[in-house]
Amino acid sequence: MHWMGVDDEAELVARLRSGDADAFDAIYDGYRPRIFGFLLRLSRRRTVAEDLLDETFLRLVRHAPALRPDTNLGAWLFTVARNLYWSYRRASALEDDVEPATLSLWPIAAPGPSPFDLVVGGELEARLERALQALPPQHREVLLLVIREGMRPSEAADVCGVTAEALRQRLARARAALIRHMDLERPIRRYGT
Amino acid sequence: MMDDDDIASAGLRLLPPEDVSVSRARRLRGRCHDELRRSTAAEPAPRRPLVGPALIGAWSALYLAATLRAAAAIYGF
Repeated sequence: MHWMGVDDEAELVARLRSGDADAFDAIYDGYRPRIFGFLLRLSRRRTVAEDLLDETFLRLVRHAPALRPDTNLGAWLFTVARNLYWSYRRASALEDDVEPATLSLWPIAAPGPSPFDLVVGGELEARLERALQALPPQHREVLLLVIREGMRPSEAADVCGVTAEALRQRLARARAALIRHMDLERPIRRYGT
Repeated sequence: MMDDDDIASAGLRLLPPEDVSVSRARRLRGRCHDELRRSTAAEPAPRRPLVGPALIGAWSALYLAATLRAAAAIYGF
């Protein structure tokens, strides 16, 4: 998964290695929302996702001179972000089996659809976000990397530190669990219509 | 006709993008520029030749040992 062409990305990496701030800006603007969205949906806490995003990009610039010329920036950034999340989780002994209904991407959980749900997405998106939140993080990360970010399973396997076969199995289980949690048997009505 | 898997996958791809606030993004950009300047400004330390100093050190040690031996022979230690 290269967010731009491989040659363009190689040129960006070369410029970043030599300390070019414009090259950093191009990478930062391209990847920041994607890494943040990944971290936000993985951690389910905005403040945590913000802190982990900071650390991900700070690590990129600290390691800039040591980057290999053929570095796949997307895979590099998602790997660092994902590893930081798991380190955070281990350090904070975060309980992940909290009742999903009490969790929200936002600091204060609201019962039922939040104003954000109503304004931005409608019920399908709201159900999807809630279903994602109800999944274990191992399932969330594969769904986000492969389906949301369009990574090849082999790339996602590298990011997650598992074999391609293990990732494929995990992805199949995650898809099934997501659909179960979305409760698609229940009709979807759109808010405001 | 889309099945449940298609709906879930399409929904995941179409979830709204997320981002940090403009001020936070600007702050992090500034910190990263500073770090980038620092990390790329430090030139790698020039590799010092190791063979020359090692030979000189070894020769000095041998010379010192020979001198001490000669001194010991002269003064009868």
